[in-house]
Amino acid sequence: MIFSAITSLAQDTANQPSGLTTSGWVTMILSIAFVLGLVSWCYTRILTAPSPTDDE
Amino acid sequence: MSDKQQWGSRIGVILAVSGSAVGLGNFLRFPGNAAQNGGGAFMIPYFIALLLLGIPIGWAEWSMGRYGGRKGFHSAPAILGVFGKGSVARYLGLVGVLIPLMVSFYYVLVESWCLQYFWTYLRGGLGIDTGQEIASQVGRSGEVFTQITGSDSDGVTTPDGGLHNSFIFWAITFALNGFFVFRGLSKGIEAFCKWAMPLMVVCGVAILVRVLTLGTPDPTNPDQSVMSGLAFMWNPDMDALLNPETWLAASGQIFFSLSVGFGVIINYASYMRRKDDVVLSGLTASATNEFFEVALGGMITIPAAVAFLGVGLTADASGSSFDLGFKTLPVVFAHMPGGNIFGAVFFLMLFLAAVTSSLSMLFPSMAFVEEALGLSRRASTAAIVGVSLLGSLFVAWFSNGLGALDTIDFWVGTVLIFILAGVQIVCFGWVFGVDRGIAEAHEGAQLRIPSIYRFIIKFVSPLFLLIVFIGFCMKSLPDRLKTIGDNPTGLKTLGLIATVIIGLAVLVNVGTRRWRAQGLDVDGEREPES
Repeated sequence: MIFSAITSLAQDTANQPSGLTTSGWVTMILSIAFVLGLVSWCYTRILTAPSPTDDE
Repeated sequence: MSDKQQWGSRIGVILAVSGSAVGLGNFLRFPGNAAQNGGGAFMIPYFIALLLLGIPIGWAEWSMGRYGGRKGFHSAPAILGVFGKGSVARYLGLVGVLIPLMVSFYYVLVESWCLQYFWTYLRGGLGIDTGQEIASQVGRSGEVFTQITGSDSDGVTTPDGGLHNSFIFWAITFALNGFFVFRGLSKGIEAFCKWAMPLMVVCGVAILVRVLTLGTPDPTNPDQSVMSGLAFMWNPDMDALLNPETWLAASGQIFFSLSVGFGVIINYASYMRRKDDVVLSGLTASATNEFFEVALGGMITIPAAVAFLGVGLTADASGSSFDLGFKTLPVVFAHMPGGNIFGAVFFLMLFLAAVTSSLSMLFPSMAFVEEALGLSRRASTAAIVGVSLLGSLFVAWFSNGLGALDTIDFWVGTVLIFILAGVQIVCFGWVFGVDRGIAEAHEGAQLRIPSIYRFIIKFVSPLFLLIVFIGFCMKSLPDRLKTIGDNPTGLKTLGLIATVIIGLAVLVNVGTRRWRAQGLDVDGEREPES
């Protein structure tokens, strides 16, 4: 599903030279990669960490 | 019903805090803000504010909440009294109860609009005739918004004496909130967030794929395409970085989006156990919010609007979240193949986002009333749901021009949030002490706070916050103060805010005497028992 969306975007880009500039692509990809990377890293750490043994 | 509240699981508290933060602003306010303030360039101050303002204040709130819970406190006034070492901080802490309580008065109403839009799409859409001029379609969409919200007059009845639809949906939404709040922290809020948050991701991804595959809906009009929308949203205008308003908008977006200074995190964290991690949990909650905001919010709303309406109309609407979400996007859905289905999915997602936020808003005041008056949880829940019902009715009644909603949103949902965040970061970094505060945060932590954050929490975050607040006041306060006397609904609403403040101040006074009589460490003079 996501792949078809990306393919569609790539085709649009080829047809429309006046769309996203290179700096626009870079900003978009870096921003999304940053939040996706951060959220993935956080949940991986959370889900693989042992539960605290302490209880009051 | 047990009076002892505790989170059922670690992922549950993270999803509940994330759910509290993720709201309409992620999908409507963020993209409009970014597109209007430099596009991709907006992301530079945005991420700087995340690192210097959002994450550190969030860590402070999580740590203060858990520490306060160990001393037997769950409300912002009591916990800030501990961290601020005295009655000044304790009375300022009432803002941490006031904000979520009063924001809930109008948030439930906005939530009910989302439910009504969802229902309307399920029943066949809004009746927008796509054969007409775009301006007429937007006009029709605006009429539907007025009908749905009842914003053309005060009261809750139609001209023929029947109950207004908006009131019926408001009642359903309020009942739903009341149900989950009565079920408590673990069985109510946590249980709801545990399925609502993943469902929101599913809805968001489905709409995202639909939007990104729209291409150029009208080949005779190649300027209106998804790519043009993404360009409008993401192409950076670096000159915007020289404009202070860009920095103000980006900082404000981070600040309000993460719900720091809102009074919820400090309350939620107070139900954690001593060795529960707060550092990684706080970061994860912030990251979840950022995922919804940047990866979904930044890719859906503006590109879809530009693809069908063009940059001009989208730019006009993007200054107002309500205009963008409730007036412009319905026109987009009317043009989109399968638009009624995607309209329904979109408003279901907004509704879930709003419910996960509003559920968090009553808990701080319930905890406060419970510990200030020594009430049972059932009694405190009933009392606060009753107060919220009256307050929400007030906002629903004074709906003409959304006057009451706008007044509470500005003075309580904006100005006071700055003040509470300021009080919290000063109490944590200066009065309690940044080294001691970070040591407390590291108790049970699965992630070390980088040492640079000692400097950031003590100096940078408070200064950054002060600059943003001064900028906000200079930009927004003069117009507000000029027109304050011309708005009878606004004056009534300010009277309501003052009444609630006085009521909470009395409760702080009563609670303080009660806590002292119980031998609790009201002024933070002792280390908590381990």
